Amino acid sequence: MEINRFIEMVVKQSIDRASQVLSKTLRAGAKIELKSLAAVDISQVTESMMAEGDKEVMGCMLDMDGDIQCKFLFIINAKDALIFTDLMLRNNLGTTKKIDTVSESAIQELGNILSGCISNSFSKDFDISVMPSVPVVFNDFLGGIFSNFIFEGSGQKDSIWLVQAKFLVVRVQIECAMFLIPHTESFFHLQNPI
Amino acid sequence: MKSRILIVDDASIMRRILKNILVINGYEVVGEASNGEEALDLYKKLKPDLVTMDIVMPQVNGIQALKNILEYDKNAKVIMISVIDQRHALKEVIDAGACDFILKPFENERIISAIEDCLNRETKNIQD
Amino acid sequence: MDKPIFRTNTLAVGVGDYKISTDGHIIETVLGCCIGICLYEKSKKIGGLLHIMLPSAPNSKPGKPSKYADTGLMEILQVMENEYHVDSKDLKAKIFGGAKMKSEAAYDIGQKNADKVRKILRSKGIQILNEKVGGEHGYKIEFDVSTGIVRCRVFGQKEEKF
Repeated sequence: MEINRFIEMVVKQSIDRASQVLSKTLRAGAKIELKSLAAVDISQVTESMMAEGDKEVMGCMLDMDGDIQCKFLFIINAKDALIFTDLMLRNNLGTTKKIDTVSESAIQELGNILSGCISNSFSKDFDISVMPSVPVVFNDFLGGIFSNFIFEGSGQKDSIWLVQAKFLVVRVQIECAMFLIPHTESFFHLQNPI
Repeated sequence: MKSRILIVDDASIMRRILKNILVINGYEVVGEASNGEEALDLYKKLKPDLVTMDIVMPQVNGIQALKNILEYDKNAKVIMISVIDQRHALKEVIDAGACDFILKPFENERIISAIEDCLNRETKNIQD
Repeated sequence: MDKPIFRTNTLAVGVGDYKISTDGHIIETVLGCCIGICLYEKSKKIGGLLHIMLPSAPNSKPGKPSKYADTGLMEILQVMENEYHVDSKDLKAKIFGGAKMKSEAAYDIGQKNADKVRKILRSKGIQILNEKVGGEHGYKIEFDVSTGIVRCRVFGQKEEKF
C-alpha cells in the first residue's frame, strides 16, 4: 500500500508541531528534520542501527490508539537526558549528574508531550480520536530498545511503514530521535479522507 | 489561609514542577497522586480545595478519576492538565464537570490564573 | 541517529535475519527479548548468527522464516548444509538474549524464545556450549568466526567472553 500524499503531509505537519512543543517544553529552540517516511524491511532497518547498537540511550515507548494505531519511540543519548532533565526543571545545566527516577520521569514526560502533540495533530487533521498510552521508559542499548520497538510495532510483518525524525535542540546542541510505526490497516480508511 | 491543592500526575517530574509553581505562588500542596485510583483515595482523606489532574495515567485515567471524585463530592474543583487537546476529550471533561482544562506544556501564569478563577468561583458562590 | 560507522570485517545482523561467514568476520547484533543463536563449525571455521523474534511461525502469513526459532533454525541449518557443506552434527551453539523487557507485549517472550531454541537445538543434536539469557536489559554480542569466541556485554555489566 502506498503512502497517501495527504497522510504524508499530515505526518510532516505533526512533526513540525512536535518540534514547537519540544521547544516550548525545554524553553530552547528545536530544529526538526523529517529523515524519512517510507516502507522499510524490519531486518534491514534494525541492521543499520547495529553499528551504534551498544550506545547507551534512554528511550520512551508507547502506543497511540483509537481510530488509528501507531507505535511511538523517543530516543536520546543517556548523558544528554541529564541535560534535558535540567532544562525541564529550569535548573542550571550540569545539576543532574546521574540517571535516576527524576531523569527517567523527564524522558517519560517528554515522550508523553511529544506523542500527545502527534496524537492531537492527527486528531485535528483527520477529524478522529487517538490517544497515547502511558509511556514505558528504558535505559539500555540503542540496538535493544530499537529492536524491541520494531518487534512490537511490526505485528510480525516483514515490512513496515516507519517515520524517522530528528530534533536538534540548538542551545545545547543535543540531538534526539523520534520514530513512528503507523499500523497500515488502521490508516486505510484515511486514504480518501476528503 | 493557604488554599490546599492535590496534584495528580503519573510523571514525578510534572508533580515536582507543579508543586514548585504552586508553593512559590502561596498555595499549599497537601498531597500527590500518581494515578486516578490514588487520586480518589487521597481526595477522600485530605479533602483539598482543588485538584490538578493529568489524563493519561495507569490504572485509572484522569477522566475517570474526575468522574469518581465528582461523584464523591459534587462540589469538587478539578483542573485538568494534559497533553490531550482533542474535541472528544475536552467535551468529556467539561460535561463531567471539570473546572478548567490546561494544555501541556503550559506557562506558569496560566496555571495560577486557572486556579484563582476556580477557587474564586467557589468563594463567589458562597458570598451569593 | 547518525550514519553507522563502516567496519570492513564486521557483519551486522538485524531482527529476523541471519548472516553466515567463512572469512573470519565478526558477526554482531544487539538483542532485547530476541534470541541470538551462534552456530560454529570449528574445523572449517564457518559460523552463523541467527537473530530470532518469536518461538514459532504461525500457520498463516508467517513472512520471513528467520523471524522464528523453528523455521529460522531450519533455514540457517539448511543453508549451512547446502551452500557451505556443514553437517548439523558438527555444529556447536551458543545462545544469548531473551531479556524480560518492560513493555507488556514483550514481557515474557524472551523466556519462551530461549526455551524453544534449546528444544530445537537439542532435537537436532546440536550441543549448546554456552548460554547467557534472561535479565532485564539488552545484550550486545560479537561472534568472532576466526576463533568461535563470542564477546557478550549485557547493559550495565562487564563484557564476558564465551
